[in-house]
Amino acid sequence: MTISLSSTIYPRQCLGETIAAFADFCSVSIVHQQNKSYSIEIIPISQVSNEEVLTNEFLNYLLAVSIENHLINRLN
Amino acid sequence: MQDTSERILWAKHVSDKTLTLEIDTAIYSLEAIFRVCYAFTDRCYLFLEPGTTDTSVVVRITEKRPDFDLETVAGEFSNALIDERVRRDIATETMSIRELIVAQAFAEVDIVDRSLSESSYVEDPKGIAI
Repeated sequence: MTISLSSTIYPRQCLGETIAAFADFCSVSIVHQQNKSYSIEIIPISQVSNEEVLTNEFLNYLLAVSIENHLINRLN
Repeated sequence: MQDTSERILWAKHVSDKTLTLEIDTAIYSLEAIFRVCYAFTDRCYLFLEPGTTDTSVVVRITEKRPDFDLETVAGEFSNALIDERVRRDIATETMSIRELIVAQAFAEVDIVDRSLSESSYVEDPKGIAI
């Protein structure tokens, strides 16, 4: 499944942290990159039964990490 | 039970499981949107993407469980945005007094000038007495 993400909302370093957290469930690659956005492809490992749930959980986790990053940067 | 079908008029239904809210960042700052999203990540799946204008963000809300009421959550999300906006406004309005209180609490000396407010009525430094 390929998803386009805004790099303003979802910084690249937060993507790395999320990929590490989901390493047991899926592999993720960046398939396209532009100035303000990038696209990722999420490939579940064979044991994962519900790809949609996995993708939604991945994006929720990425959003939470990104928000923490934005708020910490604002305080500094 | 109250009918909740299409009760939230500003929400756009994408599917049975998903709706979107387009939020103007001139009204609700990106920080306010982030804080509200963070609070809702345990209840639903959220995805943010740029809106149709430079000053808008689209929040995509997807149900986590089958018994999930999308309209109710979209309404609560919208109300939470207003709460957050008001909280930010009050924080800005009261920032100077809060800073003064904290500074006074940690200061070794009294940084507030009390010479006039705590003077003797006999001395009457403000010349209140006729």
